[in-house]
Amino acid sequence: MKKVIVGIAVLAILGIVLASSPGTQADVKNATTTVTVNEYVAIGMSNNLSVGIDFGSVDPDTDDNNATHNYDGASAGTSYWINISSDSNVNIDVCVGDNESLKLGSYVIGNGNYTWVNSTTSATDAWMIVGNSTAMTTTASYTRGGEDISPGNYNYFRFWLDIPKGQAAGDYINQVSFKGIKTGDAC
Amino acid sequence: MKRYAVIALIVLFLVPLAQADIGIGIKWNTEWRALNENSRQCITYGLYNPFDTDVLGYLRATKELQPLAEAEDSKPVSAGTSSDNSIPTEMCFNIPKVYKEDCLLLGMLCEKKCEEPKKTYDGEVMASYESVSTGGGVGSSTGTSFAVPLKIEVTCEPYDRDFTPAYVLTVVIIGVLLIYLLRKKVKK
Repeated sequence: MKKVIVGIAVLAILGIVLASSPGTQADVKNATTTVTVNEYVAIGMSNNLSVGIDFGSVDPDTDDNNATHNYDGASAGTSYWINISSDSNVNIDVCVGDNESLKLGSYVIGNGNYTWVNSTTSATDAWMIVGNSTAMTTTASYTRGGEDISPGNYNYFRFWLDIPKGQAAGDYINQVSFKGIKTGDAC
Repeated sequence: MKRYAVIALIVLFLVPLAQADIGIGIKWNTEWRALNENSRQCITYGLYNPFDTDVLGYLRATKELQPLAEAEDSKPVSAGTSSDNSIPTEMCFNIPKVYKEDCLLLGMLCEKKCEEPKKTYDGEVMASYESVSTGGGVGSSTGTSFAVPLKIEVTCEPYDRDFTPAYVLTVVIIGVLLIYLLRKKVKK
């Protein structure tokens, strides 16, 4: 009888020891994984683009008037460009739009007369001619220019303006915005 | 002749780099954020300027985020600032109360079940700098900016109706009534 009691006691102690040892319990520890993804991009304009797109003094009933810096870069290239800094880590698209048509009081030169073309290749890209240009749209419906431009690269532009017959004389002004977005995002 | 050609090529290559460019940079670490309703919360972006000209940079929100955003003052961002040294700039949003609360009595004894679809606001945070006007003649002033997408999801925290104020009020009313009745009886 005494042996049985001792045996039970030994088994009970063994059971307690085993139960309290870490290896016998279903002991699940969770670790949280965290990571922060940083993105950065800097977008700039050439000095000649930053001071505005100027068509100078032009006559009514003339087409395809060049903006003043369309061909004054090196090798008759354009000196209008958007610059994606090499201190960036995302590729971007450039969207182009104006706030409204060129205006002088109630007189308007419609956006259909204001055209532009772009290239991501070079300032002298032969493709950048008026025949390949597209009409300006407002910022309510930006038009996509250069696409998938990687850091350290440029998006070059040329601009043309038609002045309709009978257009009232004066200074017509508006504002053109160049909006950078992550490649593939909506303008 | 060969030497001139090489020099011409180098000049051609360097021309875009040599001219002073002007612009702005933005650094961000979120394009989605869950924010509590009926609260004011801010998200920090970094403004930098690796170009050659000092600018006054600022942030503004567009699309659905525009009505929620607070107007931010522009701040000087010096030329030659790298993304590593970007200037922390907060964009703050006032998130309205969007989820339905069911109250029994004059805005009290309320419960919120959060059974409606989650409300999200889609928009952009744009980094820009103050634009420069064109001179006289026919033409356009220009500006450039970069738009970072941002989606804000408004979180809904459900809670049950809390009857504690009703119980307390009932106890107080009964207590006052008892005291009143006892005093009336004592006076008699």
